[in-house]
Amino acid sequence: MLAVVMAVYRRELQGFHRRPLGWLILLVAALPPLVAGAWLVALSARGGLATRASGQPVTQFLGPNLFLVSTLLVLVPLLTMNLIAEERRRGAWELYATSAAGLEGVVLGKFLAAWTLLLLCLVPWPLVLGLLRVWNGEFQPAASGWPLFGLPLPTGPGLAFDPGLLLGGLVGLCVVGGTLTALGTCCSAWCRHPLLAGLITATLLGLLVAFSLLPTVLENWRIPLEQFAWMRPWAVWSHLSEFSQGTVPLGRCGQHLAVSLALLWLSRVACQDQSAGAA
Amino acid sequence: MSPSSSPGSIVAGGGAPPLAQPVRPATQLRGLAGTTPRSAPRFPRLARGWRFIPSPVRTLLWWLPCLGAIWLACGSVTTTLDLTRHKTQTIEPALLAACRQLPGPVQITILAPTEPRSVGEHAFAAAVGPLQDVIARCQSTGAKVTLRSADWKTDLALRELLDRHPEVPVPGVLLQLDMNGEPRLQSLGLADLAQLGRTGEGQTVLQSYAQSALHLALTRLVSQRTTQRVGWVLGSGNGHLGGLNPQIEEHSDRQGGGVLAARLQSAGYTIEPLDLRQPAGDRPRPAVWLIPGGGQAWTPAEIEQLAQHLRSGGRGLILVERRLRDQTPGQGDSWQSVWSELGLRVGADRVVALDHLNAVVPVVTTQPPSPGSTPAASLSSASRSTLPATLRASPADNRAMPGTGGRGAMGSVNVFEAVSVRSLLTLEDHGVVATPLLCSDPAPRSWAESDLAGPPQFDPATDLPGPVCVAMAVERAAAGRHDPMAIVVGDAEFLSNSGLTSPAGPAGFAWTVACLDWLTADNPANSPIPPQLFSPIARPSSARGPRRVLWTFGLVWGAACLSFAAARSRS
Repeated sequence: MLAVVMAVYRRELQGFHRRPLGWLILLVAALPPLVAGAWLVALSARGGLATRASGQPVTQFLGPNLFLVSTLLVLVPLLTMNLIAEERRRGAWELYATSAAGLEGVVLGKFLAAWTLLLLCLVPWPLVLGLLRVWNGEFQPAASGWPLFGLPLPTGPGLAFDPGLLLGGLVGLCVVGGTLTALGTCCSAWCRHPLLAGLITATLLGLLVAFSLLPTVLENWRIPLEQFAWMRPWAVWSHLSEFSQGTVPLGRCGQHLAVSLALLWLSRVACQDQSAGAA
Repeated sequence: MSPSSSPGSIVAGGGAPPLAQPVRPATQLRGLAGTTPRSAPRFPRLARGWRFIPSPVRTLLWWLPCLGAIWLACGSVTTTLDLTRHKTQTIEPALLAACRQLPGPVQITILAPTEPRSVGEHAFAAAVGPLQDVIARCQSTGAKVTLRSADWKTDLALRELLDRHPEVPVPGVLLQLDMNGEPRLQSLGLADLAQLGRTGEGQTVLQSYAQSALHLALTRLVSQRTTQRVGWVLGSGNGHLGGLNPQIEEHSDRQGGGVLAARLQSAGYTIEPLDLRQPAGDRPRPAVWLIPGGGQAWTPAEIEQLAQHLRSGGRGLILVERRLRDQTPGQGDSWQSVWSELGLRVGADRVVALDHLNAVVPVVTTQPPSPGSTPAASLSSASRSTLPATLRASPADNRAMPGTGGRGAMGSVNVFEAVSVRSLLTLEDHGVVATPLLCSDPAPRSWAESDLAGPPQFDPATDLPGPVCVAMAVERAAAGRHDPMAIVVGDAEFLSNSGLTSPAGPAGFAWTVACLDWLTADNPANSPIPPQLFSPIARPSSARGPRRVLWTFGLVWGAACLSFAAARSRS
């Protein structure tokens, strides 16, 4: 099964990079982190420290900020809507359905490919933060040394912050991105048209955003926190905040893994059901 | 859905399997379990009903509960990896143990206004943030701790509670535990730490203090410990000159100390009257003595007993009252031997400030306490220039703080009932270290005037220019270890009945409790939780450099994407 998973995975990645649209997505995906970086620089230069750790601008950069959430809201449906629904629309799904590998391998390979592409599009986020940490933006011509003589070299580190925030945010992007990709894969499996799958995925992600914001709203209304503690495991976007503070809650990772597995299993069931219906 | 929708039927394609299609292994035929010949089921009806359910649904019925169980099991895992360099997101074991040993749910209420208006309320909001972070971390470990915020100005039930417990400072943090039907209360005052949150180092102290304070409060809440004994020293001075007599509770009596005694008992201290006129063998032996009014007419024998107590390792909070000393000139000289042993010099003067709003305020440390450093640093400040603006709010607030029981503004000049307390630096080598706790503003805005009768006017020949210290913490230093010895405050008015019942009385009381906590070695800075270093986020000097980083990254990323796309399209 692993060989089939890898074959499907490789085919999906090659298909993405073969199309100009893929490169265009990668190019455009760098814009939100650049805008968010400008916002981070402006907040940091203005001074003032937030009272809560989750309110620090650096913590929010890889947390549930407006730019990152919007990026995921667009990218996840865009990358997952074609995974299965498009194959089915073109009639290519029968090849997968009648393959020896079984539907599990196909669904898993497609999910892994979409997850990889999502992370590839999110690479500029940690890159921007890392660059802002290691480089202050100033050049200085190299004074000595033959090969580098006269070349402008970076002069020193920039925004000093704990590297744990960057690592934790990175892990959070991977974990939450995986769950969202599984959700998109499931939608693509259950829908017959890619556009419908994308719309449903975007709607579900939007509902998740609203659900994640609900505890904050209720807290502002002075409703006791313990009354909506049950919502926390399902407030997916708030989980980014936990990771971006430099921690990796193992229980939360396990919950995401369980939900992703459930969604992938639902995708497999949908593929099996629809293939049987077509047959 | 028909039974033909099972995986086996998909492979079959409604007829014979295609030639190119290899035969699936038996492990992939789970969906055909209903058609596989097997022994007679134990419950035939149930088996027939189970077989009637479509295969995908059957699969879901197996898998979803399994995944749900995994999900629930993962939810109970509270292990968290801390990736930060100094493990600032890790709860210290002492606090974790205290959280896990809670006998019941503890409700933590942050008493803060919905919309902070005064400087003090804004500063409190800044100081309580790290505490909220710590509580959230405790909650993530499964601790039975709930957190809520409440405005005591609008919450009627809370106002009634605060009326019953006037020792609870507002704004502040209230911890409540219902222990077998017996409600227990503890409070935390964070207002004096508000200044700390403004710097990176201050964040370190706040993070550390938040954990230590929460640990201490939870420990007190559970054990309801009232074993901290404080001896209230009585002597011949109290008999005819008054002083802070704990027997006088009427608020109209300025010199009564009954309110202070009652509040200290509510805060968990056992107040034991300690009459120095009695033989030493008949008196209780608390480790900490509260000496209300060092300027009173104590007899030399009594003063010698106080000195002996300090010499033998005892601790004391000594309040010097200028007004009483003025009534009995010459009596204060008897204290010189005590002050000399403490390495202090208590002036026969009065503190004068030009701006009564910025007169005498507590100073808090901006440096994190570290192992081996002076514990008094948690009460004091290395920098006198960073006075917390929170406690300069109003004249009423000033009255509540030690040394600020002002007689009222005389134009722009204000005279305080405090005397200066100076450190004799030459005694540092003799094992005594003095740390300033309360200081006035720098000269020329304040000074200590030796002319007690005339109008206040600075005379450089005889007066002491500001900043004038009015409270000192004294520690014994031996073999690299510092132990609390005494705190000398050049004022006692702020702890009198009238001072404590003033609108900002809780501020002065909270400061006094902090001092007593330190003296009884029950201070958060002395808790087993060491300070965790907080990596401050250094701000860029200007936004130009970081913007250049962003532009460079954008150009490189765009060029890379375009070049790869062009290369792909050519190939």
